[in-house]
Amino acid sequence: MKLLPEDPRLTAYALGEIEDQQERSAIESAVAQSTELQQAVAAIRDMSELLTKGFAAEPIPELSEFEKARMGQPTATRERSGGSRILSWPVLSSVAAVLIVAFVVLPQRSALKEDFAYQAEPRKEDFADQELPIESLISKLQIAEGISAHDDEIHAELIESSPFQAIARPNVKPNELVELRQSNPRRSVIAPLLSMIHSEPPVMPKPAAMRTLAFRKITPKQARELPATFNTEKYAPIEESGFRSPLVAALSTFSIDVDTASYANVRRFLNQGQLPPADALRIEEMINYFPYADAAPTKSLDEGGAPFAVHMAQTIAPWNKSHHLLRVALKGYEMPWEERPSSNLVFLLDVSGSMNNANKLPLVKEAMDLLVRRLDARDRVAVVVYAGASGLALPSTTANNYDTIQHAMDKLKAGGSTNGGEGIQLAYKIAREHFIDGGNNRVILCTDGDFNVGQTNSGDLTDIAEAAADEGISLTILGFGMGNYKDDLLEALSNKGKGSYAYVDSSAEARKVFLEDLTGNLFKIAKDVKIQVEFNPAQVNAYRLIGYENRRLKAEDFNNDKKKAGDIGPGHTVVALYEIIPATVDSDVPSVDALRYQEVEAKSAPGEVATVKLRYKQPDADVSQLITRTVNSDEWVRFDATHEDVRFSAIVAAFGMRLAGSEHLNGLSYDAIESIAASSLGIDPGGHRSEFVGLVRRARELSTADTPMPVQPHGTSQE
Amino acid sequence: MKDERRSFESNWMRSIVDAHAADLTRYAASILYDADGAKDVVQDVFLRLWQEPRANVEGHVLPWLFRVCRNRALDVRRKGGRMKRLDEASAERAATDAPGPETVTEQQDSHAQILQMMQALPENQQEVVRLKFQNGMSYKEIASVTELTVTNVGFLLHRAINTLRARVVASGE
Repeated sequence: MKLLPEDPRLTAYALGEIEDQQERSAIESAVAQSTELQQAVAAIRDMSELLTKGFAAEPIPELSEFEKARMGQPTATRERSGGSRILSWPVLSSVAAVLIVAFVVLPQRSALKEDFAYQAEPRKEDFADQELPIESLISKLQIAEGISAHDDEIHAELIESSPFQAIARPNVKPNELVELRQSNPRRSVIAPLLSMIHSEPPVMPKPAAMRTLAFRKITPKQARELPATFNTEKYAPIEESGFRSPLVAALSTFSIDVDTASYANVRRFLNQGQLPPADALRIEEMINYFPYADAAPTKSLDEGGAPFAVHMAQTIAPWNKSHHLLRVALKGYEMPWEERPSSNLVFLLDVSGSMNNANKLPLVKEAMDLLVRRLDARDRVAVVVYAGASGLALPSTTANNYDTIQHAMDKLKAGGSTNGGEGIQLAYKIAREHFIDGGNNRVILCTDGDFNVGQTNSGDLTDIAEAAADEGISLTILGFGMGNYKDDLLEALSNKGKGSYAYVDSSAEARKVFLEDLTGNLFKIAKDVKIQVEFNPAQVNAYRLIGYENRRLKAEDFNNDKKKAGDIGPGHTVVALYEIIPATVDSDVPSVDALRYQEVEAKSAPGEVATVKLRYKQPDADVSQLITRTVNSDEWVRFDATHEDVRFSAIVAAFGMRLAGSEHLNGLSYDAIESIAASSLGIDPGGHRSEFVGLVRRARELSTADTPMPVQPHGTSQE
Repeated sequence: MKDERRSFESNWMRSIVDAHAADLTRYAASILYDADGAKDVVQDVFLRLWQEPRANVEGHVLPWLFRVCRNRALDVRRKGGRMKRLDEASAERAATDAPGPETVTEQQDSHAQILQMMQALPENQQEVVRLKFQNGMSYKEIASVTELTVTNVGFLLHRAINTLRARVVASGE
């Protein structure tokens, strides 16, 4: 038999794929007679091995027990009576919300520097100058709303857009307007969590309203100024923080943020073919969306273990080789399900007409069902619904009474208009009546965006949430809905309510929220977690916290236990990144003159870049505990040599900065971002990082696209 | 007893899900480039499996699952339009872009490199390579999944391996 190395049969032979025995021995003898063929066979086998190993190194999607159970179900709508359904809790560990704080240190040589290394006292309030004057806020709002400065028109617009009757009161002053805009929690978007249960094709929801934000070929910065007449989505303005000299502001103080909503929302925009508006980009939420492998504490809380571990890393900023990045990551204890505290859960469900959609109420019910099946006699569940009238659909019931709960849920129907005001009060009332000391007391608000609360005004609603949080009742918001999505309100409400806020843009996200992140969203292991970093001017010319713009605290709030801050749940990872300009690098960050009347005693701390301090309280404690860590100048690692989690969190920040049109990014291209992200995937459980790479590509396409997206005419939004 | 049968079927399903769900999801994701969309596709696949008389699939469940999965994923990709294969996109990039400043970080190990090279292959070659070396399928099984002839599969694999060999040699020089 004559055989050439180019013959496909040789490959088949080398791979053991020749079934016919005669043919196989013919090839065998041909190979035996030719060293060329032998080499070819060996090379094919080498390549086969290489490919097998290469593929084996590719991350395999992690499916939770629930997902597998769901896949094994005979129907999409699944019957409830079959006892054979296997549902076990996914291990709590899969939730990692990471806070990334990036500091950039600018090296600035000034005469002052040597004298004030590590001042004993901060001389100036840290972020005072970052608060925008009210006038500026108003003008921004007006621009954003496309309304004029005339009071009458402001009122008219408010009346039109607000479901709160009270907002229509005749004399809204400009500063009240600001307050309403910032804190109005009237809408919450919660719904799509449930779509995970349905087996419909994974087509992203594309309500017409989503397409109404058309930004054409304009930068996100311009987009911010674009009169948003196309759409009624609302975002609070985000002012990116600039570099500060430690001589001007030695302390950087902020509250942790475990929310992930911003990333899901950004993804929705990109998948809809639009670049997101700059104000929709909360970079910390983008970073914290992803699971990271930072080690969690291993000792259980009952044995006195710490609620979270602190990890720090320094590297070079991928967008500026002369700048450093400091990554501070907190990783929550991965509480096993059996260790969870008893739960007193009150679901507050929007059953208004708009919820009457296969992707909404039925999904909410399914998700609740999943949850209830995992609870037991230690736990209580109640359901409050609101629509035309609010009511108690299920009195607080221990979770082992599954049939009772099931029956109540089956009766839930969507219909009527929304009136959530009484609903939320009723929900909190029930939660209070069945309060479990030391337990997990929580109201879970599920709505599709029309959270129309009949409170006298929006401030009242946040007040209610805040007061309840003080009593120990947290508020978790699960939002879905598009077009009239009120991101600012929901975020403000969940912050006041001390709970997490997740935005569900797809059945996939529902899956993440209800499966991967559920315990993180449902329980807390520490509360009022604050971070304060003091930079050493001897090492740091300037620094910049990346993201967390609306989580800043005053320096003096750090030690004030009355000042609230964010909570952290089991398995959460919270990452914060600082971009740092080292002292050896010049910068034009503004400095101040030496103080004439105060003597600041400098402490010599050679080699120390910064001191990171964390304060937190146990879930039921009033007094905080302090953790202090020092960051040394010799502890940095080259970017390409640092851990993939460090690289990935940095590149997510870069992506957010790129989308926001940040001047600090130094022109780092989408291609470079994509390439770094692609090389930082790690094991990528859940495939979220791979998806991110796809989004970067999408953003690049959108930013270079020649044809603008069609602009949807005003007034076609779906709601 | 109906219940018994149901539970029996359930257990059978469950064992199949346990054995193949992750592989199928990864496979679907390689077509969709969307991990979550892939899970939905895989759920559809198992729904189809429930509807299929067991006798029709027993003995060749694996290729059956992959075939249904492939068709479903291709369907979704066609309809969705928004999803793009990693390989297409990276092939474009390779064609148009000079190596960026971050190429260094990409120079990981040979495993990652071989996957990158693989992604520059034509899609039909990538597909058989993946089924062969990631899912360990025989030519016959791959033919059944992709609805190609066995000869065709052999040819595609042969071409793919030769191309990759040439590239590895070139990159080593």
